[in-house]
Amino acid sequence: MAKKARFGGYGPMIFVWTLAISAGALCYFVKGEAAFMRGFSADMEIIETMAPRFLLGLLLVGFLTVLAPREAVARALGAGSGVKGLVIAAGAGVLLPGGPWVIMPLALAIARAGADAGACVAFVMAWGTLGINRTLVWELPFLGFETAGLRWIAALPLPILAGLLIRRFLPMTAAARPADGDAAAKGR
Amino acid sequence: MSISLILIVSFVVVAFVAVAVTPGKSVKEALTISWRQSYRVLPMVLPAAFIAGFLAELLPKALVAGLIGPDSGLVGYLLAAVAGAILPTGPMVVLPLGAALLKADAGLAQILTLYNAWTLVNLQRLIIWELPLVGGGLAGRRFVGGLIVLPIAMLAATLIAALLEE
Repeated sequence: MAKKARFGGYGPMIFVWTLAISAGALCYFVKGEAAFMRGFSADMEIIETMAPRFLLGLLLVGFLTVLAPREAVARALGAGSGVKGLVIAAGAGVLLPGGPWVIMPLALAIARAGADAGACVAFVMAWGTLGINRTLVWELPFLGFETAGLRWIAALPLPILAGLLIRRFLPMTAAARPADGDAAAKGR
Repeated sequence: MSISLILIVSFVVVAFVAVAVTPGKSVKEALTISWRQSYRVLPMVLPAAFIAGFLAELLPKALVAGLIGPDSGLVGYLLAAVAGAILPTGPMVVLPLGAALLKADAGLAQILTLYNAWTLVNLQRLIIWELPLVGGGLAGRRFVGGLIVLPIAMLAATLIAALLEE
């Protein structure tokens, strides 16, 4: 989305569709029709689970973008926000439910509103490795209370640490931001 | 209705009410933003779901199980990390798979490493979700951050396994 030139902006879309069709074809011709049907019904289950959450996530993106004033987000999560900003970003990532289809648009929203790369990394990483929803629904039942709990506690510092390192060594310049030439780029 | 759906519905309701009652904030503007976001993202979500199911069928699960036992040493850890990075699935497959592997005599530290790698540096998430949705700059930084902290997660996994297996 940052680069719009190639394929008129449809590049990523063409890529995922090609990947999907190849995976389906490979499955059918290599593993046979039964495997293809198993895969297909798994796909349908995923879509069934995903669709309502995805649409709700999109609604949330709109509301949160309107609610969060750019200046406030930039102050709370910008490059100068210190460890506190990273903790806030990571905390949001831990609490927010939903799959990548919810979280990635939100990461984009906070980046546009003035969060720096460190805060975005802390946010997405906290969701990925500490998300409370996945911990409750998937980790506890399959790993057991002790193992899941210890793993969760051990992973607690990781998003903050990664955010600090990215902020220190790989800060994102205004030009590289995923902003469509709007105030997020100018506001720094 | 699942817990996660209830959670996200309540988030949406709270956010909606907050926008509606705050003077100067417009629900219509919020919905316009959501709509614009949706027609850019929706065409990519559908194929992503298809990829997940088909690749799970294509994966050589039995092979994975044989390679990451408790005594597989550094190689086992690395294999587990690589497996976690390339497993093209969601939690609905990774965690059942991890549990199954544990039953099939895989090591706890290796399975925790596999799971941590899946959460930190999963390639499917990078390619299908992060790159298209947040762009290369942010997605790349997120991935590098995951790579940097992964060894710490491996050490922690070893400690946890030692603690629980005592």
